[in-house]
Amino acid sequence: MPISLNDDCALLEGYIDITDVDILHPWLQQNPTSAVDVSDCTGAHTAVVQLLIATGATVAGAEGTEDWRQYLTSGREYYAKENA
Amino acid sequence: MNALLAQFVAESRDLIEAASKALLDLEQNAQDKEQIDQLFRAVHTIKGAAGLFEFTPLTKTVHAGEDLLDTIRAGDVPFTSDVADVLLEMLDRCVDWLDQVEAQEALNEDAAAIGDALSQRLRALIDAPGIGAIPELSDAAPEDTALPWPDDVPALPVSGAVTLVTYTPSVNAFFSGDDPLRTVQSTPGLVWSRIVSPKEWPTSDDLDPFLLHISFRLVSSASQDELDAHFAYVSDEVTYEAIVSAGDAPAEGAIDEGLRAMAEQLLVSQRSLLASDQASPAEDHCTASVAVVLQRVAQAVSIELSPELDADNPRATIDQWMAILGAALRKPEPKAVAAPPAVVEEEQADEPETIKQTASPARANSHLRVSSERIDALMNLAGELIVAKNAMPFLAQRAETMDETGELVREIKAQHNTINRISEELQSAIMQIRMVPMSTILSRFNRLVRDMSRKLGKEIQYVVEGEDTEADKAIVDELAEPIVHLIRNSIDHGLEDPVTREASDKPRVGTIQVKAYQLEESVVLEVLDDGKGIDVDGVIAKALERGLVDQDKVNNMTRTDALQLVFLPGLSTKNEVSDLSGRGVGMDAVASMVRRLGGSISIFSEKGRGTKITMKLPLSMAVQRLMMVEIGDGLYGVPIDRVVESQKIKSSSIRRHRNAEMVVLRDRLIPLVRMRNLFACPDVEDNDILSVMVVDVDGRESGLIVDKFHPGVDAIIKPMTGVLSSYQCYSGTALLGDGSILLALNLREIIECQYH
Repeated sequence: MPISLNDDCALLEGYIDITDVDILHPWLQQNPTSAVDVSDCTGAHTAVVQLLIATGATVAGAEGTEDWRQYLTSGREYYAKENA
Repeated sequence: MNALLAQFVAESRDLIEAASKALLDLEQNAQDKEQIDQLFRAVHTIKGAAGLFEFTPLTKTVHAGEDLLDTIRAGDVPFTSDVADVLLEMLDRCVDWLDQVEAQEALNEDAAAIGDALSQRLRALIDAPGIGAIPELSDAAPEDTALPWPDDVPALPVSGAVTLVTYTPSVNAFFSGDDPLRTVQSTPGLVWSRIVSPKEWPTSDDLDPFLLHISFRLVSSASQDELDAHFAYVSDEVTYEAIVSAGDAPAEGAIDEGLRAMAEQLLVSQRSLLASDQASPAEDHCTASVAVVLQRVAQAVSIELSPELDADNPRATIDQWMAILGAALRKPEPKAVAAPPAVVEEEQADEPETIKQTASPARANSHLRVSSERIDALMNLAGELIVAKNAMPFLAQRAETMDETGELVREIKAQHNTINRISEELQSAIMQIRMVPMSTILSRFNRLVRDMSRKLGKEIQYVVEGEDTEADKAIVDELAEPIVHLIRNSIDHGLEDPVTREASDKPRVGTIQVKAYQLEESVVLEVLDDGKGIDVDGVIAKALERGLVDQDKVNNMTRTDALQLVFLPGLSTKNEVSDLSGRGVGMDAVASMVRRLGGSISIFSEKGRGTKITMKLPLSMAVQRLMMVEIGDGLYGVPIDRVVESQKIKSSSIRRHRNAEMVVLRDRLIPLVRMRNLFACPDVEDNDILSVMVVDVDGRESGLIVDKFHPGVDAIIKPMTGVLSSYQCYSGTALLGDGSILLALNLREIIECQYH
């Protein structure tokens, strides 16, 4: 399973599909201050990214990346690798 | 027609209406950015929706229109009346095409050719606008047409023009299997992108994670073709802007935009002057004059021209100068680049500017779109119910004879009251649905006035008052034609040209005013102009010449009465038929249209000051309240809104003048009509007390002497059909609750009969 949940952290691994929103959303509602670790996350559906932004989730492992995870940093901006 | 297509047609019509209005407003104020945006959005939405169906000519034409509007919005093409003409023509064409789609679910065969021609004309305006018709500029690299770097896009290491894409996917994008972020991430030439959050997020509990709330801004270095191909499936959700970074912009930037545009325009005109006069004897003078103009332009924009003018070959120097000025006068440099990427804060995405660009047009979902036929059917049924409930009092009467205790009668009466109340409420509820504001028709005449004033070279302002006044849709729709005619008449015959107006101390710009207001149970429409007014003597002379009235009658007429002669069939005061205000269709047509709707019309005019035409119409045509009168054992109905008063008078108070009988009521002299005589009923013994019903017909009062007054009744008046339709003195028939038939009187005809 690409999502492992416990009380203080949600660990996202591999590609997180739109269907996983059903698991992640209730967890975020219950643990609004817990971190979501995307260090091993290779990709996510728009719905997942939107959910993380909308709920203001604390995201770990996005800073300093050069891929899509830049959207999860405060600027919500992505700079393509060769230009970044 | 399938439901989707029907909705497309209905929505597109609304959008076209909105676009036309925005276009006309824009003509008044070309700088109104909001109107440009609204116009653009309307056209953009039509294009998007048309793309769902295979109406290629429609899509293509609207697309060209959208592109033109986009350049206008960006300030690259000035908005002029000529541009408005072509855009209005495009909207007219769309209306035609929608009619075709509605009728046959396809476009006519000629649509492709018409569409091609029209889109070419639209595109020609983009490619060769008033200020940019120079080949060098239209072939220019994207940098020259690009917009300055937007403030909300961080500085990026790109060179030359790049494309800024704003991608606003539909809120239901996930349900159609879209993954917009993936689309963004796979954009060819992607340099940068940002997720734009909505202004406010729902709380975590209220959030529906399967609805899409975010949108995207991205910068790509790919060509427009590549981007078009990439976003092909969501083409109506993306907008493109070419932007250029600060480093690539021309070095100068201090030239004021207005000055720059003017200088550029001068440059264009000089170029065409040189091109047209080459090899003509005037060439030398022409070159010299161009040189002077270029020097002045350079001076005005503080640009040094070099080299000095070569007297032997001025043409070569001028070409060099042109190049220098051309380069200097291209688009102004982009604004300074915003803060570096790392410190761009999230709030920036919430700036109103960004929201405005990404917001899709709001959709009202609290409204139902119902076809008017369904409402009509409902209205007819409610009308039938009202007539059917009228049977209950008769039923009660019959029950009285059978039921001695009176209990049944009481019950029937109680039930009648209940049904009466409900049916009246039902009727008024349906009436409310059918009520539409006058603005639905009045606003479209803007266009008529604009086109006609341009054609005739008159300056006219069109003023509408009371456009929120509501009336039955049927009445409002039917009114459109008479009003068009009246406005045309006013423009064509009433308002003078600017020179004549100024000569007679009037403002240069003529005014046509349409006023709508509610008066009791009627809606009143006035069409006023401040033109030259109507020549009453001319009207009288013409009426006499045509034998429409005799001299005797004319002698007894007031000026106001004489003016009403314009409504007589066969009287047209303008000798030649103009191609604008109808071919031979005169005021009589307007009058008959208004009267057919159960309304009345009157005219007031003052020579040199203007004309006012007043139309009074019932608020609704469906159910009418009639006052019943008895004449020689027959029952007749008179529309209650025509009844001024009902009086019993002494026969001794009647005054006679030759054959005419009159009575003075409240200081007014009222001519009398003996209805028994008119209907050829046998004479009765002279009654000392007479029942007089005073009615108002076209502003004139007359007293009808009837046998007896009866109570009022709600009835649906059906027009007379078959053989009966030739009896002009009845306007229709109505079914009464006891199954008998009531003839509704056509008062106008009755009064006319009396006089002839």
